[in-house]
Amino acid sequence: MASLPCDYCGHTFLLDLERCPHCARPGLFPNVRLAQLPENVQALDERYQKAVAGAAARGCEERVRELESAAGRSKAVLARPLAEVDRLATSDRELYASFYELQGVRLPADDVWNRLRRAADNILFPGHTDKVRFAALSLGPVGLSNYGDCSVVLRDDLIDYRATAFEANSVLFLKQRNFEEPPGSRAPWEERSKLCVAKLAGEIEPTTPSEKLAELVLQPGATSEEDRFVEVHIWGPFTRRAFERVTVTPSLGKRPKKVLIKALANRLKEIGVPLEDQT
Amino acid sequence: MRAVVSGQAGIALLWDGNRLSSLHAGVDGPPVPRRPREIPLLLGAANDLEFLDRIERPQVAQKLARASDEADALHLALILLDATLPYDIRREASLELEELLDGPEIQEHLEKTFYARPLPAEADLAGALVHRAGPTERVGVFLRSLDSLQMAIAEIAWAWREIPDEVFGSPGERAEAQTAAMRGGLFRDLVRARAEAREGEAFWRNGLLHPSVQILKNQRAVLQAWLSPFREDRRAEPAWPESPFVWAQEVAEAPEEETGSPRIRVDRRQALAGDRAAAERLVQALKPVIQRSVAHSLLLWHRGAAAGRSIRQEVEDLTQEILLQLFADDGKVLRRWHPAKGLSLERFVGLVAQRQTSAVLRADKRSPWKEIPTLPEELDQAISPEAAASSREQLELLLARLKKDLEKDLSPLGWHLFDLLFLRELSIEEVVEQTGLSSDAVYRWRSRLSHRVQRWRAEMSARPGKL
Repeated sequence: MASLPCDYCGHTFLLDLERCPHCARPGLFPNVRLAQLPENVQALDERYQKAVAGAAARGCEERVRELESAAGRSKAVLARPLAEVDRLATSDRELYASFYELQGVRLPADDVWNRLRRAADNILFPGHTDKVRFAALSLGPVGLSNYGDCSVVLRDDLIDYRATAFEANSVLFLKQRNFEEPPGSRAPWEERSKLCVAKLAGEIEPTTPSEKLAELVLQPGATSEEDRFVEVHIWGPFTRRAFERVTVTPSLGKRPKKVLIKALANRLKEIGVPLEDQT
Repeated sequence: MRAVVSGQAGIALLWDGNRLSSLHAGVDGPPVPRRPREIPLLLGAANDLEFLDRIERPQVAQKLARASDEADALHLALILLDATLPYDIRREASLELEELLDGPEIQEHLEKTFYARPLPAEADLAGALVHRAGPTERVGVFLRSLDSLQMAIAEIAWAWREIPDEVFGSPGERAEAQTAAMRGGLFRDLVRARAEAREGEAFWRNGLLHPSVQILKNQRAVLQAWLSPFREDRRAEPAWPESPFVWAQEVAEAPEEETGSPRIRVDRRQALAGDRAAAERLVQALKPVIQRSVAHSLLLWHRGAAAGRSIRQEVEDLTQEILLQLFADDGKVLRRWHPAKGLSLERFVGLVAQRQTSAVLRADKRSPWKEIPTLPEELDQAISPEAAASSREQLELLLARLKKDLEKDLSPLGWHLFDLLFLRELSIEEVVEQTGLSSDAVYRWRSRLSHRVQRWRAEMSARPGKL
């Protein structure tokens, strides 16, 4: 486990600690500290420089710069079923929480996927696998519809200090690499555009239209395994106060009842969050 | 074939040998091939999973359709009970729910869920009855049953919470047992048995022979602990008074009465103006609202300290006390309510009851949940029905006195405006419409009358003795 010096007392401590053991001051969020490790920063920079040089050689540097600029404004978007977003929006209401809680049967924690997930998380967030929430980077208001018909754009100001971007779906990415994380696969939030360039510049041609750039960053597949995206890791919990806007999109399953969408829109309106119904 | 079904996620996953696929609610097409790692993504945080063995695809599709309707019905019922949502949304939810309740199994699902836990104080049951759309009889039946069974629901839920964790094995196993009992309909059936005032032994047998008991771990000990308070109390009193919301149903069905609960507002105004019959009606209408709120606060507060005390008696006692407070001091608390502030009268009274119960529970001497109970004579003094009746009489006298005094001072127009603005509580716009005066004139009259009433109050306070 790597160590970094404490910002206050200067003594080093392990990355997975949330607090300096020497002076007891809070440390940075572990995922952010890991992304800031010198070897990671250097590897990402090398990938980025190589990608930009390659783009220049192919005559598409301008397009790549356009991608970089757009990715710098990209958002973390969470896609979940409408009922789940509604539960998050009503989690402070006893009326809803008490009767939803009664249902009580969830997916067992020991299924194949959860074992893989834990393995991947232990590599990415040692000791803190339960503290990270996942989203996808998007240039628009819609996320990965395979995860649900309701896309929630998260507010930058409530996540930028604790969010990092990762190359792709971390479970699949690490499984394909025998659970070895290559340096330069993750970036602090403010460097997410660099990661996007490092990952995607090779797919850009001089003729690539601007509107295609958003699809390069996030492209839902027929199934979630075929989704292409940059994963966002957010340390710690969030509530509906972290919502910036919500979009309900058509999905494979049954269309949600209009009144359920209206009720959610009403709850969100109270806290200044707009909802767009695209169904 | 094996399957797992979730109505919340709207998905059924099918395992046929090693092949995994998914069915989606509302979609008739063939199953979509899946990989195991997609399972958590598809099911998300859904907590209504049902695991099925040796089942065929058509049956899974049927189960999925029903589970999806059940999830929607629960969601719609909660929207209908949510006082913070606008009238039109709650009304639309009632129409959708009425359609779903066409299937008896959906009604059964709602009963199993809602009978397992008392409604929290924030639930607006009276508003749900009033706001539901006219042609929603099945919704009305469900809501009225839910209302009339609240006390029995609270008792059964309270007795469940009293069972020590050790009887289940662990807190996790306790939660599993609760889900199993809820899904199996055990809570619902015990609530009904309690409400029907069956004799202690019959009530006990009802629980013991219930099919869903068989799936509980340590079933006999759980049931014994759960039902022991009721075995000791074999009197099996009626659980809850007759629902007072029948009139609300009538009001709800009247097309011109679309907002709020006008009948109770009229009763309040008339009660404050000294109408004894209206005061009685108002008490009858508000009593269950207060009881529900008190029962819920007591259940939330309590954990163990109330052993040996009757929750029913405490609810009744606190309810009487709160009714007394509402009418005391010239109906000061009741007068604080105003429709323009956005709360229904029932919700307002529910909040008053909630706050008062919390205050009583926090106070050392008054809390009924202390190990040393309040002396019966102290309670009698504070909350006797005689005292409540006396308070109402005082209120009537006070209002009669106000009317007499003001009629002397005011012109016929002034008295008419006083009646419209202060007794009937009409808005400025409504008064303008009724009198033909300009709104400026009505505002001036309101200010003048308000000062007059304040002077009258000061004079009354200065007079020695009672009215």
